[in-house]
Amino acid sequence: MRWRQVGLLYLVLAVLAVLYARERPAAPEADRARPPRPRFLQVAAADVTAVRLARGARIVSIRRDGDRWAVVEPAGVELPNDLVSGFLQALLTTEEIDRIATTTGDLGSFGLDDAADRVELTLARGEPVVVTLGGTNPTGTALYARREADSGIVLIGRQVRDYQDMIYGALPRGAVPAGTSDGRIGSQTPLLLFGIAV
Amino acid sequence: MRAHRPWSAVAALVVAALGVTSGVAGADVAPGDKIDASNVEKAKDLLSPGMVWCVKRGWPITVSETKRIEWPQAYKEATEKYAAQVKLTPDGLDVKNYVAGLPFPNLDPKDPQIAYKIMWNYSYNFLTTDDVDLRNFDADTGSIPQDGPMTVERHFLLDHFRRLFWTGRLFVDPKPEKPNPNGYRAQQGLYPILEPFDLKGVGALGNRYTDSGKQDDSWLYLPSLRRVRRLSTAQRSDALFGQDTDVDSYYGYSGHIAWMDWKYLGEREVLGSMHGEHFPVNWSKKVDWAFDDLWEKRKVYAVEGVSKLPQYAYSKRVIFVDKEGWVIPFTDIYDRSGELWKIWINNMSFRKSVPGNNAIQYPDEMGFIPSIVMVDLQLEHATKASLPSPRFPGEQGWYFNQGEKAGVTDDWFTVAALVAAGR
Repeated sequence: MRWRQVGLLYLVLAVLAVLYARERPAAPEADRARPPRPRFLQVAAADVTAVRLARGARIVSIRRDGDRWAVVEPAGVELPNDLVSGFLQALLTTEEIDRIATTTGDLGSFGLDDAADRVELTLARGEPVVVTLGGTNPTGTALYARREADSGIVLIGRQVRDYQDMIYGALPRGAVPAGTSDGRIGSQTPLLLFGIAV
Repeated sequence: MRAHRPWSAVAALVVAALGVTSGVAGADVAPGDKIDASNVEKAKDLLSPGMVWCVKRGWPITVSETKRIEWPQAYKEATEKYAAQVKLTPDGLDVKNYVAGLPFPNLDPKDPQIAYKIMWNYSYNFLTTDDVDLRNFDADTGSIPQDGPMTVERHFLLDHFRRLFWTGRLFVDPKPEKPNPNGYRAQQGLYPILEPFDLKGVGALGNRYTDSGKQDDSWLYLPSLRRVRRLSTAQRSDALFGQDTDVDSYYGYSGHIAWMDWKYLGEREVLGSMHGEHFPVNWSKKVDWAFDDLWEKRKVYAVEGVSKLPQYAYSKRVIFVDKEGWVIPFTDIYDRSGELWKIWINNMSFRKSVPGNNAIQYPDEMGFIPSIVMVDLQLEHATKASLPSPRFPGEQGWYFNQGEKAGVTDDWFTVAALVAAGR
C-alpha cells in the first residue's frame, strides 16, 4: 500500500469520525432533563447516635449501642435492628422531590401542624436534627416534610412514613397508649362494668 | 324468678359490653367483611402502603377464613431429610449443601442472617420445584382512573412462560439434580408474544446459575430488527414492551438473592389472596384492573431488598413473604428518591386442580396464580395479566412438573429456539 493510499484512508476515517460525533444518538432525554435532586438531610448514618420518634403521645426512643440499636422508650421493647437502620437509611437517603413553599403560613394543609409526627436525630457532633413529617401528596406516593432549621416545605419519599409506621406497628400492643390516634381502642383501657374489668 | 332479674340485666350488659369490645378490637377484619375505599382504615394495618393506595382507588377486598397452605409431601420429606445439612455462607450470598426442600425451616428473629435465610427460603419454595409451563395468557396495560375501568393502551397475548429447574427437583427424573455441567439453577423463557401485531415474535430467555458470583444470562429477541439483544442484570428492573412489569418483579421478586442487600423488617399479619376461588381470574366489574377474589389474613415476614447494582431502577423493594407458603402476596417498590412507585400483587389459589377439560389432578395442592397486577402509582397506570386468558375456555394455564409432556425440554431454552419461534 502506498503512502498516498494510507493517507487517504486516514482522511476517510477522520471524516467518518466527525460525522459520527455529529450524528451519534443523544443521551436519553429523561436523564438530561432531570437535575440531580438534593438529599433532604445532609447527615451520615454513622453520625446518628439516637433517634426519637413522636406521634402524638406515642414516643419511641432508640439509641445506638455498638453495632445495634436499643429501644429506650417504651421500656422493655425490642425492635428488629434492621428495621431501625432501614428507617434511618430511608430518612437519610430520601431526596427533595419538590420544594412546595418557602413560607410557613399554612402548615395545616400539608399535615405539618402541631399534631404532625416529629423525628429527632441526636448526632455525635453538632446540634440535633429535628424533622416534622406531614401528610402525603395527592397521589399518595410522597410526603410533605420540614426541617426545623428550614422554613420551607419539601416533598420527600413516603418510604420514611412507611418505615415509621412499621416501627409503630412492631411495638407490642400493650405499649400503645390508649386514646391516641393510633392506639387500638379497647386494647389498653379495660372496659369497666360495675367496677370490674371486662 | 324475680330474684334473677338483676342478674339477667347484668348478664345482658356484659354480653353487650363484650359485643362492643369485640367489635372495637376489630379495628381489624373478619371473614365476610368487604373492604373498599370507604372502610380501608379498618384494614390499614393488614395492608402495605401500595395496597392501601389500590383499595382507595377502588380495589375490592373480600375477607375469608384463613386456610392452611399444605406443602407437597415430597417437599416436606426433602426438608426433613436435608435441611439439617444446609449452611449459609457468612456473607449470606451462597447456600451450601442444599439438595431439595426448604433450606432453612427454623428461623430465629435474632439471627443476623435471618433476612437472607427468608429470601433463600423464598427462592427454594415449592411453587415450582421441577418445571412449569404457563400457556395462553394475556395482559392489558393502560391508565387507571379513580373507581373506574382501565383505559387499555395495549393488549398482549403470550404463548408460553416456562421455567426449568436443574436443582432441588422432586418429581420428574432425573432428580434431585439434572446432569448439570453449566451449573444452572434454572432456565426461564417468555416467548413468543402473539399480540400485539408489532411485537409478534418477541421473546425473552434467561439462565440462572447456582454460583451467585455468576450473573444471569438474559436475552431479548426482536424480530423487527432480527437481533438477539443481551440484557444486563440492571436492565432486569426496566419495564418491558410498554408494560409496567419488569423481569425482576415477576412472582413478587425474581432476581437473584445475591444481588440485593436484605434487611429483616419484622413479622406481621397482612391480607393476602392465597386461596382465590375464581379460576380463571374474576376481574372486578367496576374497577377492571383489580382481581375480585378472596383475601385472608396471613402471617408474613417483611424484608427490604436494596439492589447492589448502581443502575437498578428501584431504590428498594419491601417484600412480604408468607411464613407458611413462602410466596409473596404483594411487594411495594420505591424509586430512587424514596417515593412509592409500584406494587406487584399476586392472586394465588393453592388447589389440587382447576376447572377445565382433562385438567390434571395433582396429589398435592399446587400454587396456581390466576392473575397478577402491577401498578405504577406515580403514573396511575397498571398492567394486569390473566393467567390463563379467559379467551381459552377450559385452559388450565399452569402445568406443573410435567417435564417433556408439557414441552419443557432443554432445547426450548436456547437462543436458536427463541429465534425460530419468533419467525
